[in-house]
Amino acid sequence: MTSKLALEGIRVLDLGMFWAGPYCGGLLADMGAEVIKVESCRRPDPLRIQARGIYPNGEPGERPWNRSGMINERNRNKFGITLDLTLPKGKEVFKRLIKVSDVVVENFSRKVMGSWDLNYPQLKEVNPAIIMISLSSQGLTGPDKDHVSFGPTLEDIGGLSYITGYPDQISTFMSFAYPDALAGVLGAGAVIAALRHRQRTGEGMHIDLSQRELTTCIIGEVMMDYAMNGRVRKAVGNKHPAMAPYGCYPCQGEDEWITIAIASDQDWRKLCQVMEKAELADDERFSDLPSRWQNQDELDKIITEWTKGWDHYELMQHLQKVGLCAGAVLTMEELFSDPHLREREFFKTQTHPEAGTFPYKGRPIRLSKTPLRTQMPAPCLGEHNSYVYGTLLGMTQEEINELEGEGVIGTVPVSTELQFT
Amino acid sequence: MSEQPLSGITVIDLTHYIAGPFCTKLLAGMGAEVIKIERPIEGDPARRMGPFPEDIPDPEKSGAFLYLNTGKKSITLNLKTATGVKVFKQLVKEADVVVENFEPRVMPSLGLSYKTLERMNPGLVMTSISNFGQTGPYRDYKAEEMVILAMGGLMYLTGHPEQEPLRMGYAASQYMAGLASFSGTLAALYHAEQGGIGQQVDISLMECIAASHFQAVDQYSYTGRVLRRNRAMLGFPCKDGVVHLAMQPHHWPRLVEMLEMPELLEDPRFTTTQVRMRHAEELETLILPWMMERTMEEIYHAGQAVGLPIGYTASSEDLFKSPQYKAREFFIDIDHPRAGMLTYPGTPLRMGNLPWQHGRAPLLGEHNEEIYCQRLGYIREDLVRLRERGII
Repeated sequence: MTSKLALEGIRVLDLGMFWAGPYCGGLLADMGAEVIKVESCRRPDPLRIQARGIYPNGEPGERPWNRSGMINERNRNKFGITLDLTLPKGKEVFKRLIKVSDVVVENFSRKVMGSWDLNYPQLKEVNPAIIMISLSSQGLTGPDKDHVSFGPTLEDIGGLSYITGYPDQISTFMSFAYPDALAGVLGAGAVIAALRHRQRTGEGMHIDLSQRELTTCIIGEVMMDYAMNGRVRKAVGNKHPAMAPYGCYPCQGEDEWITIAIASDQDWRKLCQVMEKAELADDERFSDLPSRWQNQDELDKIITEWTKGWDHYELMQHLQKVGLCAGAVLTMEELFSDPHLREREFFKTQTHPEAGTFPYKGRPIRLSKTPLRTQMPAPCLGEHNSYVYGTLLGMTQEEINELEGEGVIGTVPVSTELQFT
Repeated sequence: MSEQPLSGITVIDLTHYIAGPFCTKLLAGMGAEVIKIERPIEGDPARRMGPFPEDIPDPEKSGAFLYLNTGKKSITLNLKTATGVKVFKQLVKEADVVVENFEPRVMPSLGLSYKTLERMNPGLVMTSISNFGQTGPYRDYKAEEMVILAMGGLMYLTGHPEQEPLRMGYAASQYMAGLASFSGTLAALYHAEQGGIGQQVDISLMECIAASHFQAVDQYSYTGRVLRRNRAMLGFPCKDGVVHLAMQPHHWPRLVEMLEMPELLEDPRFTTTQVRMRHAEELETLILPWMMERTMEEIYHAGQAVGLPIGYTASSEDLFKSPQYKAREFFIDIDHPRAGMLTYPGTPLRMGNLPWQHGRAPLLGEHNEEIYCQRLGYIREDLVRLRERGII
C-alpha cells in the first residue's frame, strides 16, 4: 500500500517562531505530517504583528496577525492553535497534546522551555517516545548557550560574514538569515532520522541543533585551511582562486548584471569568439590561466565593455547556447517570471481566507512519487482550536469555552499593536 | 557499534565535489554505510581542490575532500564501461539509496536512469542533485556557485547598493543543496521503509536558493516591491574587526547600558525606533569611538551580558579558539594515514546521546578488496584484470 505522502501518520507540535523552527515544521507538513503550530495570544509568532511587516498590498487591515506574508509563506499546511504555556492549565493541556504527538519542534532561546517546566526530561515523562528538536543559536550547552541571536548575527558568529565582502572593505551585513534556512532544512531530516530510530528501538530523543555550528560546518574548506596551514581565509569579493575571467558584470539596464565563470582555456577561446574578439585569445596577457588570473582586472574591463551592450537574460542564453557558464543576476520580479521556475511550477498560487490570493515559493526538495503538497493555507491565529481540542483531545465545547474564558486559548492577540522587530 | 539512526542502511554514493558529498557525509555520520564510487586513477575532483598542507597538492591530503568524505568507504569504478555498469547494478540491487550529482543526462546515458534502477530494486531511493533539476529549459545549462546564487535571486540582494552584487561565502548554495538532499533522501527512505516503494528525489541548486529567501519573495508576492541591496545597518568597526546589532525596540535601553551612555536615553533624536532610524548615521558616529576602543569579542560578551542580540564577524581562527566551541567539543581530531592528525569541524547536530560517526575519509579505492571480493565474490586476480582494463 502506498501512502500519498511520505510522512503520513506523524503528528508534530511546532512551537517555532520566526523562521528556523517554522521552516522545519513546514517541511514536515509539506511531506505529509500533521503539524500543529502552537502559539499564544499573549505571545503569538512575532512575525504576525510586525510594524514593518509584509501585508497584502501594504495594508495590515483589521486583523494584521492573519495577513502577514512571512507567516503565511512558511506556515502553510499547518493547523494553528493558541495555548498559553505560562499558565498551569496551558501546561496541562500541552502535556495532553504531547501524549498523542510524535515530535516537538522549537527554536526558543535555551531557557524558555525549561522556564515553562516543559523541557525534554519533563516531556519524556509524559511520552517516553517523544522526539524533540531544539534549533538553538549556540546549542544547549556551553558558556554561550544563553546568548541571543538572529539570522544576521549568526552569519557573523558562524564565520560566514567574514568571508563575504568586497576586498578591503568593512564586512557586509547580509540579512538573509541564511543560518535559519540551513537549520530548517537540516532539522526536517534530523527529525525523520529520529523517527526511524524510534521505529527500530522504541526510543525518542532530544536533538540539539546549533545554528552557529551548522554555519561553521558549511565553510568546511575555509576551516581546513586554518587547521592545516594556520591561514585565515578572507573575503575576496567575486574572485575565484582558480578561474579567470570570473565575476559579476554590468549589463544594459540599470542595476542589471550577469555572472560569468570561465573554467578552461577552451572556454576562454570560445568566449573570445562569442565576443567577436578572436585576437584576444592569443593575447599574451590572457593566453593561459595564470596570466588571465594575474591580469583579471584588465580582462574584466574588456568584458564589461562588451556585457554593457546586452540584456542580461539574452546574454545568458547566448553564452549557454555555446556551452559557456553564465547566469543572469535575477531580481525578485525576474525570479517570479523565470521560464525555468515556471515550467517546474516552483511558485504556486494559494488563497488565504484573510490575506487573499498570492503566489508562494516552493521547497528545495522534490519527491517523485509523494510530491510535497501545498494544500492548506497557513492558519489564522488559533484557527484550529476547535479541531485540536475538540476532535483530537476530545474536549467538550464547555471545556473549550472555559479555556477561552480563562485566557488560555483564543484567536486574538492580547496586544494588537504592531511591533518593531 | 550501537544502534544508530541509519543503522542497516547502505548508500551507493556517486557524488563528487561538495553538494552530494556533504549529504552522504551526514548519512554516514548517522550510521549508514556509504560506499563512495570514484573514477579510477583520478578519483573525486575534490581531491584536487585543496587546501593542501603547505600548498603541496596531494590527492590524499585535500582539505575539502578530507572534510566532506568522513566516514565513507571508497571503491573505484569506471561507469563508462559495460562491466562497470554491470558491477554498479549488482551493488544497487542490495542497496537502499543511490545518491548522484551528475548532469541530468548522464545517468540515463549510462543506462542507469531511475526507471531502470527501480525495476531492479523497487524500494530504492535515488537522490539526484543537479544545478537546475531534472527537468526544465535550464536543465542542461552550465553553472557553478556564483551563477547559482545569481539565478536563485540571492546575489542581487547581497552587497552594497552602489557596487556590484556580491557572492555570499564560498560554497553556500552547494552546502544547502547537501542539506536538502539529506532531508529529501530521509523522507523518501522513511516512506520506502513503510511500504516498500522507493522514488527519485530531485534536488535543484537553483531552487534551493530560491527557497531560501528570508523576506524578499514574500515582499514581492504581497506588495510587488522589489528589494535590493541595502546599506549595512548597525555594523560597527571596532579594534580588531566588526560587530553587528540586530536590534528590536526593547533592546535600546540595553544598548545604552552596555555603552554606559545614559544621556542617550534623554536625547530626542533617539527616543523611539522611528526617530532613531532617521538619525541612524548620527547615532553611529556617537557610538563609534566606544567601539574602536574595544575588541569585537569584548563587545560581543558585553552586549550579550545585557541581553543584546549582537554578533562579531568571526574568522576561522576566531572559531578555532572559541571557548564555546571548545566547551561543546565541536572540533574533532581525526587521524588519517596520509594526511596525518588534523582538527576538523565536527557535527552540525547531536542526535540525543547517540555518538556521531566521525570516521576518517577513505584513500582512493581503499575498500576495493572489501567490496569487490568479500561482498561481490570477485577474487584478487579479477581485480588485477579489472584494474588493467581501466574498469576499477
